[in-house]
Amino acid sequence: MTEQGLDVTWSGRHAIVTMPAEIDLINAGSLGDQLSAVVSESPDAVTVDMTATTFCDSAGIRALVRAHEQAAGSGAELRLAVGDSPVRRIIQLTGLDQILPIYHDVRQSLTTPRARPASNQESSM
Amino acid sequence: MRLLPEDDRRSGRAVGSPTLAPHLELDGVSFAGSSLLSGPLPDGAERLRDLQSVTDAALSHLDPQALLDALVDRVKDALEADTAAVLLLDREHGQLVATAANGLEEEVRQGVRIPLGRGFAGRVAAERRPVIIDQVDHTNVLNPILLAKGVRSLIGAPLLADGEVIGVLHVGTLSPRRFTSQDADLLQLAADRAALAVQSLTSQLDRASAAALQRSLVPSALPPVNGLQMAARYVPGSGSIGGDWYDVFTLPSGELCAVIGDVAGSGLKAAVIMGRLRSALRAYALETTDPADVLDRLDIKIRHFEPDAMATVLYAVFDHSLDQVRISSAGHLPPIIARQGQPAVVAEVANDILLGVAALKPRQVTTLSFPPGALLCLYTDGLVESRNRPIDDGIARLCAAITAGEPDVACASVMGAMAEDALPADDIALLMLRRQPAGLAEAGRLPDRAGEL
Repeated sequence: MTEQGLDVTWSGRHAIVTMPAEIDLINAGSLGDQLSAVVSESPDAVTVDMTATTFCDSAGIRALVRAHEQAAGSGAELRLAVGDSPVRRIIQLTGLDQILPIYHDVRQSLTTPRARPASNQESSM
Repeated sequence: MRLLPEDDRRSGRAVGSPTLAPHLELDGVSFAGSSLLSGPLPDGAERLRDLQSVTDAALSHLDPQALLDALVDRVKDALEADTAAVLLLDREHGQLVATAANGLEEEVRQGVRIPLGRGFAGRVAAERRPVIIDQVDHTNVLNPILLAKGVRSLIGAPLLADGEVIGVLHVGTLSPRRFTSQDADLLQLAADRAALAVQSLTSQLDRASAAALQRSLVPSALPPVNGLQMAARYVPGSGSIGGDWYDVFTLPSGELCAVIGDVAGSGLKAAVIMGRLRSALRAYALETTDPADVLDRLDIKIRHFEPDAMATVLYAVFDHSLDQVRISSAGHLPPIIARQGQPAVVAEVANDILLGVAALKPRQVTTLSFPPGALLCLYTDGLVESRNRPIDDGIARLCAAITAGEPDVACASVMGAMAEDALPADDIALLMLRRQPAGLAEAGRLPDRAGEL
């Protein structure tokens, strides 16, 4: 099992997590755990930087969705920065862009304030 | 409770190292020269050979229970102890489940379950190294059977596979005994053999069960429908069976329904969830003819009963005349449609969020015209996804490979063009439905009145 440590940087209470080039069944579990750990640190927002990610299979999509649900439950917002990565299309095809704010790059995400206040983050279950 | 002292621990580790154990030469000569097992156990080599023969024999018979039963017998004898037991980890519940025992048969019969991190076995699993208890009492042992039996001293070792704990092997005595580091080495070696065997067997069984389940659920023969020809392919991935499926069935009203779906993940678990979704979708299809409504119900079912699961599903309902098909897609790849005399194109179908995720907006239905001679192609990502190029390229190649002709020919042509480039680890499901060309339509069918899309 490969153990990839994700690069995490903070800008105030905004965490930026940089994803590897490929996300698949092999590393999705570990990446999901690491995302979960970041979300546990009570950020206001987490931007998942996938601009350098070229491949993301359904296990990766699942990890993103679970991180989003965890974030929403604790009042944080999970965002994706996808640039022109092929992942953008996967995000659209799976409908993930309907629940996650998508940005072109990390800078755009960092400079965009949250649309909704933290107290209003319950997803409509 | 005592953990082995640092030095002993290290030697226990060395013997117990998963990379070392499988390659250890267990013949008498190399053992006589081994510093780990020379000394206090004069016939240690013989005992180990015994253990090894057990695990090797059981491996060839593909029966984990027989392996573990034989193993606890031999380990108990090898350590001249009174009890021996193997508990395997039930990962889903975080518990160790008594699976084989000698001298403690009640453990297995009563289905003893020890939470990870608690009790003696739970402690061994948490420590991931041999643990010894010289003096058993209720503070260090959770299992009432061990206490009732009068077990006085215990030694346990973890079953490790790929660095993960998959179970615990422990041995006990009814009279007080100070287990030594040599005992720990021997036990860890036995535990390593057991771990390798258990892991290999369970993954083989897992694959075989998933394959059998997959075969039983993917329809071998598609239902005959007047005016419609169908063909399908299912190819399992090389790594393991996945959660792809397709289904075709008719409703009491006579309407024809087609489904293609992909449960995230792989192996037996994904295949089992796939089976449940397939059945549930059929049941919901009987309750409502609105495809979006069916997927909504399926989504509620998944989120309630399979909260870890996620799936993409595309559900299509053909009307009686076959002129139109209503499609709802939960994050699934878009269908390809080839109308007679025209190139195959990606059908413009509204796409909603995949199943298993709280949707923020209502699911949509797209109605496509389906004139005589038209061919609808449904598929899973294994067919078009590649690490080397964007998925749209794969979809474009799929379009190029489809011709509006016999579905079986179209399937063969697509598999020929695509399969070689597809991810070998991912499974592929492909379903083609073609409406008979106008000239061949049977009497009584309405003339083509398909509107513009």
